[in-house]
Amino acid sequence: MNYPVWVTEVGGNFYIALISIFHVYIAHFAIGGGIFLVLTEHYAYRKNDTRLLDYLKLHSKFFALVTLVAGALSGVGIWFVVSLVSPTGISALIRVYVWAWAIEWVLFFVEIIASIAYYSSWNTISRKRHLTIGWIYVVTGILSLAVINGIITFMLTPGEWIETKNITDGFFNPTYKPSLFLRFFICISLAGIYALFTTVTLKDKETRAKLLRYASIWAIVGALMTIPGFRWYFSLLPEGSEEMLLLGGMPIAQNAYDILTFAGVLLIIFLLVPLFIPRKFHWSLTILIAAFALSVFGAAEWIRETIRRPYVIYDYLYGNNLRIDEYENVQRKGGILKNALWVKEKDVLNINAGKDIFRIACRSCHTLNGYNALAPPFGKIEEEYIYAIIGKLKHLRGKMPPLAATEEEKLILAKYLYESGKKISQTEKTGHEVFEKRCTFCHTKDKYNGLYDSFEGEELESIRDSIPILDEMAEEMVPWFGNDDEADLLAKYIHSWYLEKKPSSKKMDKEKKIEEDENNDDDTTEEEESEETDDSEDEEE
Amino acid sequence: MNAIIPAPDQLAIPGPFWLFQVLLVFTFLLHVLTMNALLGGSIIAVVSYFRGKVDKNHQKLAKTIYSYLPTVIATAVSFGVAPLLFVQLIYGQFFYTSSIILGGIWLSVVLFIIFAYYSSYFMKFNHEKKINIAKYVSFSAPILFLIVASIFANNLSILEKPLKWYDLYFKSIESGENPMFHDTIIYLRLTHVLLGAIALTGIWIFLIGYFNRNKDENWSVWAKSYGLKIFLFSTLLNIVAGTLYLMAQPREIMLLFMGKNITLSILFILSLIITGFLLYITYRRKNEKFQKKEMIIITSVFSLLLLFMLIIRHQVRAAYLKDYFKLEALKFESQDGMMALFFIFFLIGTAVVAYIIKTAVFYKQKTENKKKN
Repeated sequence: MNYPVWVTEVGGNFYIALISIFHVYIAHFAIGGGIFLVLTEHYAYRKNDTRLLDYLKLHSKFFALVTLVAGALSGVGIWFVVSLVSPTGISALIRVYVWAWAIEWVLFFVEIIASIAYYSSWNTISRKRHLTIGWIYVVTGILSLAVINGIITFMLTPGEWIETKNITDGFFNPTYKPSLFLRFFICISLAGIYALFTTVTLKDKETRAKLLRYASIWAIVGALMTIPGFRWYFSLLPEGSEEMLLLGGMPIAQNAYDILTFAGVLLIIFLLVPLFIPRKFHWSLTILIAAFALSVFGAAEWIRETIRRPYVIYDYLYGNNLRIDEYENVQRKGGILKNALWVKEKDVLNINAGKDIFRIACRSCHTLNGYNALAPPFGKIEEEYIYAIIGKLKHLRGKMPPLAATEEEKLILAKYLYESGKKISQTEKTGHEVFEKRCTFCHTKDKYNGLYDSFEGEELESIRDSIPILDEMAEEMVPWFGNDDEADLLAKYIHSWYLEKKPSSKKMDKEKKIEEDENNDDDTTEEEESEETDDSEDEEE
Repeated sequence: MNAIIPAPDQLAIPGPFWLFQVLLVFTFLLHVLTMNALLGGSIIAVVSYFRGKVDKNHQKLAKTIYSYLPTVIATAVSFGVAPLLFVQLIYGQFFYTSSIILGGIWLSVVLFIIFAYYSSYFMKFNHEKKINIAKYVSFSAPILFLIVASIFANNLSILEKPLKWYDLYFKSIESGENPMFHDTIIYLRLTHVLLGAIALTGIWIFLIGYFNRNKDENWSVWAKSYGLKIFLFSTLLNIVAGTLYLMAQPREIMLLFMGKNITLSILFILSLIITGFLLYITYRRKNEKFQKKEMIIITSVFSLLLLFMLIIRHQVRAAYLKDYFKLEALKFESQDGMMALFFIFFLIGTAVVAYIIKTAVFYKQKTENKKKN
């Protein structure tokens, strides 16, 4: 509301994710790779292994070229893109942590000078001095991770800072330690993975095989250690993150999680090749391994960015640059158009006002046709339906911030979104299609806001009869905007679920069991009864 | 209509205002020194690269600049981070707005620098080889850096003109109108900066020549004289460009230099005197041998001139934003411990960098000398 909104059809958040993933993939290598170089250099001197030293000279040049240029600049790139997408967020981070950023800058500078000196002075200075420069690099690298980690984790779990506004509380926040642990081992793993790139080019077969095995040990140990790291980190995430991630509450995060697990397993499997049969290792596998690693660590960053929704700084600032404490003010003082600074159309009845509201309140995360696009889903549905959805944002999947708009503003926004929608005048042919169109904004079949349990045991007619009147049965439901044909198809589709085998989501069972245990503290009610209470409680919530 | 100025952040600034202003100007001075060297250096290097095909002196100069350039870029980037941090801290509401108005163009800066950086590494490793492609790559760094310079000049010019923001923003998002060079004064600003960069590179080449006096005396004499010539001509041109730039300023800004603002006027006159002195000394002595003392005088007087220029620039910005920047709207709450920690890190960091440079550069020279003996 305070700043103009950067309008990009690709999507600001997409750029943030893209640049961040590119950056962390190199920045973690910048730290791990330094440790790798210096420890290996020690080893080479001890064994007086000149071949290994020659390799290190080659690798350190590769290391400098990758980290100094692409690594350093993409870090600056994150800063640039974040200030375009979330000026209020970056401003807050700078106000609170300017001294930490300034310390980070000193470390960054020392790192760069040390790195240049390290790769260019192999043959010109004594071994001892060369190692000293290497160790300076390693120490400043780890320190810079320790500093930036405090700021990144602050955004997701600001902890006590929300109350105290004390920098130490914010910096050493609940996820500080697990995140540092996790990132450290990502560094180690990437050090090994990048080392494969230079190792495969070696001509001497024996050295090549030896080093491939050595590099793969770094990669595997690092990757395996991230598993407890991930678990520790996940256990301290804000409430509800897990269901966002595992049960489809946040479809993008769930996809990223699937990629993470899938690519993670493949990564480990493929890393066994250089470990056990290094002589058979073909250079093309390096590309494949690097791609899996990029998928794993990139997905992890993507998850971190998405589970923080709807906030940029948790419990402080929403994704659309509105502070929590501002939200009520805006609503009380007449809505978005009256309070936002960068408004073109003040007349709330004009369709251009809808465009302004969309830009101000939604554009930080959504586009019409790019990333998190609204035109495709809204092209299929009615204007009234869009309006109804806008009124129930907090029940939607994907964690939306509340909309500080007046009723009139919601109407014109709905109209704008409806008119901007990609009009597809097709009739849904299957029940699944109807389900996608009418239910999945908020529900899944059997995971997040799952409908499976709600209709269990009901006859087809009873399901069919309840569809048009669901909003009368539960306050958080939107009215039914479909026609009779759609209701028929949907009812049949839902009914067909119970003809299949019951889905066995272990996660669900486990959660339900915990819920049951909580509900049945000491009463020994029968199982069926307790399930009924659970359901009714869910609905009340 | 009135300018729309976003409200400054409600969170407190964790230290005194003057300190952040000093840090901003000081770190920006470091950035300007290196950034001008890379901009001017990449241009002079291309000239010498082509002239070097027939002229041994130019060939050596191209080789020398190309060998330094990646390191200069690395330093310029790191030195650029700090002023960018402090400008966001105290002028955030202006800086974010002007950046958003430029939008994707602003973001593209990063990509351009990455390409320019890699191309300068390419030239470092390949300029002596007979590769046809090097001929074309040699142009990429200066062109890209020039584009980057113009984007920065545009951003900071937009920052100073809040009255234009609304139009620039809505025209750009609605009809896709390009906000770059919305005002012809930006061309003058860019020319002024570019000529300054070339002048600084002249001094740099002079210093390279000076420090090589024992290795290759003939070349050293040539380099010193060539560097000073570059400085001389670009500065003469810059006096014209600077005058035009001053005259193109709005009347109330121009008057500040003419006595309305005492500090600014004194700094301005001192700068003119220093420039005159430098021009005189370089013109008179461009073909002679230099003593250490004279080298130090030229370098430090030039650095002083640069510092004056930056203070003037800072004051002019303050004058542009006078009606929009309200110090009393900012909250201050010092984080003394963190501030102390930063200065400790800064001192240790400086010492460590000095150690590394001493070890890697001077120790290296020692071993080279030993090898010769």
